[in-house]
Amino acid sequence: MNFSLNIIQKIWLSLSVLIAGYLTSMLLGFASGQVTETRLNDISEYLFPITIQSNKALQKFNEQVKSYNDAIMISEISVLESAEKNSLEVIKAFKTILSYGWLSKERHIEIQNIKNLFEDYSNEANFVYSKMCTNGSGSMNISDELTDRAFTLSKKTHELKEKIDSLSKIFENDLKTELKKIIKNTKKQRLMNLIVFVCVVSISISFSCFIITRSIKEPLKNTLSMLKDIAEGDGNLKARLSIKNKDEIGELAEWFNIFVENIQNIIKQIAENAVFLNKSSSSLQNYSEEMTTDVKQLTDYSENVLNSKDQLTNNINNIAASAEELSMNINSVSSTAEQMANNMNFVAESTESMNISINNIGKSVKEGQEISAQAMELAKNASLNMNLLGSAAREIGQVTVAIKRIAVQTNLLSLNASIEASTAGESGSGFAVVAQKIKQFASQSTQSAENIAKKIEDVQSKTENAINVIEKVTEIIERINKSNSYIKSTVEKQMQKTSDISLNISELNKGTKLIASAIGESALGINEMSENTGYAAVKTKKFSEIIDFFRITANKSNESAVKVENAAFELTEIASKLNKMVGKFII
Amino acid sequence: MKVIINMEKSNIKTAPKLNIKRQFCTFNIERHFFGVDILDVKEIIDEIAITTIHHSPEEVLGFINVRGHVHLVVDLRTLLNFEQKEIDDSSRIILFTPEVGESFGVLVDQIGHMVEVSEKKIEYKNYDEQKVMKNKHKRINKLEIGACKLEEKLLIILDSKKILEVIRDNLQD
Repeated sequence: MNFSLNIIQKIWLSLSVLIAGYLTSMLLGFASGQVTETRLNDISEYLFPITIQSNKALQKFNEQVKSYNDAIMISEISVLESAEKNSLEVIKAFKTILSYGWLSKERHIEIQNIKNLFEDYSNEANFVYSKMCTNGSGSMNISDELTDRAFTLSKKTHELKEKIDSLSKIFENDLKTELKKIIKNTKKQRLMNLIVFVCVVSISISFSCFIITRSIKEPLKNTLSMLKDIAEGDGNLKARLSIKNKDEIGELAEWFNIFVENIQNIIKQIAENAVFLNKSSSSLQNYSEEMTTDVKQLTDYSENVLNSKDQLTNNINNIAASAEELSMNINSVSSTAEQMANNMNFVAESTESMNISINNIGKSVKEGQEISAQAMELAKNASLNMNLLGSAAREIGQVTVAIKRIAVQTNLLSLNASIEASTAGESGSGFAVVAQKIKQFASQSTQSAENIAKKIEDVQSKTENAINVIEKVTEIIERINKSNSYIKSTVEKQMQKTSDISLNISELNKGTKLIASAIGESALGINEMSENTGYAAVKTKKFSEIIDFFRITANKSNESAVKVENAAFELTEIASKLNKMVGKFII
Repeated sequence: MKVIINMEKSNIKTAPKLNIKRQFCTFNIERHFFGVDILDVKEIIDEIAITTIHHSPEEVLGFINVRGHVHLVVDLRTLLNFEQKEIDDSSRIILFTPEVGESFGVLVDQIGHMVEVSEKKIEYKNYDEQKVMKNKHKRINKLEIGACKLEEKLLIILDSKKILEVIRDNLQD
C-alpha cells in the first residue's frame, strides 16, 4: 500500500475521514430531525386547530342545545337567536375545519356530512323550536306533528351530539397518537443518531489510525530500526536504508543513503589519508629526529665556531703582525732590488765575455768540420779493407774444403790400411796401430778444418757487420758535418744576439732600478694593508658577536626542533589512532 | 794368401771356444748399423763411377773399374729391402776378397770404423731353412747371421759370402 502522499497530506486525509464521518452522522440526525419537525409542523398548523375547532363546535352545539332547551322552557324567541348564533358558529367551525386541506377524503366527507346534518338540524330545530315557542305560550295546543318533529329533533340532537363528540374525540385521539408517535420517533432517532455517530466515528478513527500506522509509523519504525542498526552496529557503512516509499520518509531514507555514501567516501578518503598521514607522520618524525640531530650538530658547530672565533682574532692579530713584518721584508726586498741592479751590471759584463767565447766556439766548429771530413775518408778506407778481408776469408774457406776432402781420403786410407793390417794378422798389428793413428789424425784434421770453416764464417759475418758499422759511422760523420755547418751559422746568429742581449741588459738595468722604486711604493701599500688588517680585526669582533647570536638562535631552533619532534610523535600517535578508528568502519 | 785363408777359417771355427776378438768393417744404411767381417773386405773405395748393366737383376747396379779390375756392384739397400737412394758424397763401395765370391762389392750409404768385438758378445741367430716365409724375408734371414750390442747401438752382422747366393736364389725363384 504505497501512498504517493506526504505526511501532512496523509494527516489531512485521516482528519478529513474523521470529519466526513462526523458530518455523515450529523446529516443523518439532521434528516431524522427534519421528519419530526414536519410532523410537528403539521400538528401545529392543522391537527391542533382542527381539534380546537371541533371542541369549539361541540361546545357551541352544546350551548345551542341548551339554548333550545331554555327557549322551550322559557318559550322565548330571543333565546333562539342566541341558539342561532351558536349554530352559525358551529358551522363556521366546521367550515374552518374543512378549509384545512390536511384531512383525509373520508374524514372530509364525514365532516361534510356532519356539517350538512347539522345545518339541516339547525334549520329544523330553529323552525320547530320557534313554532313551539310561539304556539306553546300559555296553551297546550301543540299539534302532534310538532311534537313528533320535536321528538325526532331531540333524537337528531342526540345523534349529532354523539357524532360531533366522536369527531372531536377522534381528533383528540389523532393528536394524541400523533404526539405519541413524534415522541417515540424522537427517542428512536436519538438512539439511532448515537449509534450512527459512534459507528461512523469509530470507523473513521480506525481508518485514519490504519492510514497513520500503515504509511507513517511502519516506515518510521523500519527507518528507526535500520538507523539503530547502523548507529549501534559495528560501523557498517555499506548498509543502506531499503525504504522505497515516495513520501518524506522515502526521501529521508534516500537522502540518508546519499549522506551515508558520502560519509563512506569521506571515510574511505580519510582511511587512505590516514594511512598516508601515518606514513608521512612517521617520516616526519624521522625527519624531525634528523633535524634535531642536525640542529644539535649545528649548535655544536656554532660553539666550535665560537671557540675558533678567538683563534680567528688571534690569527688576525698575527696577520697584522705579519703584515708589519712583510713591510719590513719589502724594505729589504727593495734593497735587494738595488743589489739586483748591480748584479745586472755584472751580467752585462758576463755577456760580453760570452760573446768572446762564442767566437771561439765558431772557430772550434770549423776545426770539427775539417776533422769530420778526414774521418769520413778514413772510414771509406776501412770499409774497403774490410771487403778485402772478407774475400780473403772466403778463399781460406775454399782451402778448408780441400783440407776436409784430404782428411776424408786419409780416413779411408787408414781404414783400408787397417783392413790390410788385419788381413796381415799378427805381423800387421803394428801397422794397424799406425793406421789407427793416421785415422785419428785424419779425424782431428777434419775437426780442425771444420773449426777453421766455422771461424772463417764468423770472420765473414763479423767483417760484414764491421762494414755495416763503418757505413753507419760514415753516415753519422756526414750528419756531424751537416750539424757542424748548422752550428756554424747558428753561432754567427748567436753572436749577433749576444750583442743585442748586452744592449737589452743595459735597458734591463734601468728597469730594475724602476722596480726598486716600485717596491718602495709597494712597501707603502703594505703598510696600508696592515692598517686594513686592524680594521679586519674589528670586523672579526663583530663577526664573533654575530656568531654568538647565531649560536643562540641555533639553541632556540634546537628547542623548537625538539618540539617539532614531540609534535611529530604526537602526530604519529594521532595518525595511528585515526587509522584504528577508520579501521573500525567497514567500507 | 792361402795360409791366411786357412788362418781365417781356423779363426772362425775356434772363435766361440777361444775367447778371441773379431774385427768388423761397419757401415750405415738408413739408420741401421751393419757390419761384415773385416777379413772378407779387400778395400773400400770412394770413387764411384758405375757402368750399368742392362737386363740385370735390380740388386745389381753395374760394373766399376778399380785400377784396371772390373768389379760387380750390388745395391745392399735393395737387397735389404730399403728404398733406393741416389749416390752422394758419403756413399762408399766395399770390395770383397776373391774368397767371398767373384770380384764384386756392395754400395753402402756411409762407411764406419773398424770395430773389434769379443766373440762372447755376438749373439748368433738360429737359422731355420724349414721355415716358410716370403722371399724378401728369406733373403734377409739368410744374410743376417747375428747381432752384437755395442755401447750405443746395435751392430747387425751380415754374411758377405751369402750375398751372391741370395741374388742367385732370387733369380732362380
